[in-house]
Amino acid sequence: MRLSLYVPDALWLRARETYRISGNSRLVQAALECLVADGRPSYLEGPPPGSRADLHRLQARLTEAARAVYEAGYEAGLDLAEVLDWWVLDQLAGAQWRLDPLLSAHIPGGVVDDLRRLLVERGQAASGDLVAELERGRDGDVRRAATFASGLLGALRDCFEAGSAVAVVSEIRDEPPESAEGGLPA
Amino acid sequence: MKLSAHVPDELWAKAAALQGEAGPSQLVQLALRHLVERSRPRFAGERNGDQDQVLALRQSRVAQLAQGAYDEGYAAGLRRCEELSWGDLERLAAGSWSAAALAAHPGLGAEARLATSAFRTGLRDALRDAWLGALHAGLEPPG
Repeated sequence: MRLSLYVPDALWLRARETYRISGNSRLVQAALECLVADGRPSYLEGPPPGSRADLHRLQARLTEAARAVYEAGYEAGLDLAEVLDWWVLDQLAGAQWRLDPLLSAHIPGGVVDDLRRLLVERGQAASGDLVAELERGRDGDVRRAATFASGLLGALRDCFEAGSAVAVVSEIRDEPPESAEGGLPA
Repeated sequence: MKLSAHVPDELWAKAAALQGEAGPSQLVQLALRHLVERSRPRFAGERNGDQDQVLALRQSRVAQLAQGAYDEGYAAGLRRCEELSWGDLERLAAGSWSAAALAAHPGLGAEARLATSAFRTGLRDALRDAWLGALHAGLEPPG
């Protein structure tokens, strides 16, 4: 990539004097390579000997906690699917069941506000973090409540997709059979 | 002065990852200052064999100190993690495990601010490893 840069004259001259190579690009590259090389830690990263068991125990606890948060989100989604209007579900489907694009394009009275209102009415503590992010509008960050949100949207998507399939079956069932129009004898 | 320079994408990505949100000019200025500062002073002669040997020993000692600080940070991170909820970790992950995100968290802030960078990195890695482990386990069916 080509960069347009500003460098104070004194710094550039000092660097040129220190590192006598020709060409601006070569000097900039040398400086960056040096920065990267010296930025590497001089120690081994990862769990120190003897702490793996503690790490695995923590991971197991957190996995259970995360599953509980997801389940709470899924339950909330099932509840909301009973009262949400079609346009809300349709817009969520259009956003590929992601809240962040809807939040960044926040419209007062839109999908985000509707979800937030219903979650508040439901009054469950588990939804508090997501409600807080939705309340922040464009400044909200759904990643901060990602697990609850993914459970909630997973349930809504499951209901929506099943609902769409039922609608298609109903349409097929309600269509008059071709034979009736054809005037064939009963 | 204004100048234009070509930098391979891979090198730029590595350098930018070290310095977070610094702009191109800031990052290159930092790299040039680093280059100047690490250069040998004007009147320094060549190191002799004894000096090289002592230098290697001292470097080894410093590396051990850094490893110790990192391991202490990791252990502290595991201890702190005992008190954290899944939601706490999710918020730290949303903040990319940055020093600012750690410092903003009650309980982690004081420790993260006062400690060395190796300690802070160890603490961050412990929290991140615990979170990542749970995240990967979440991809497997429960049971």
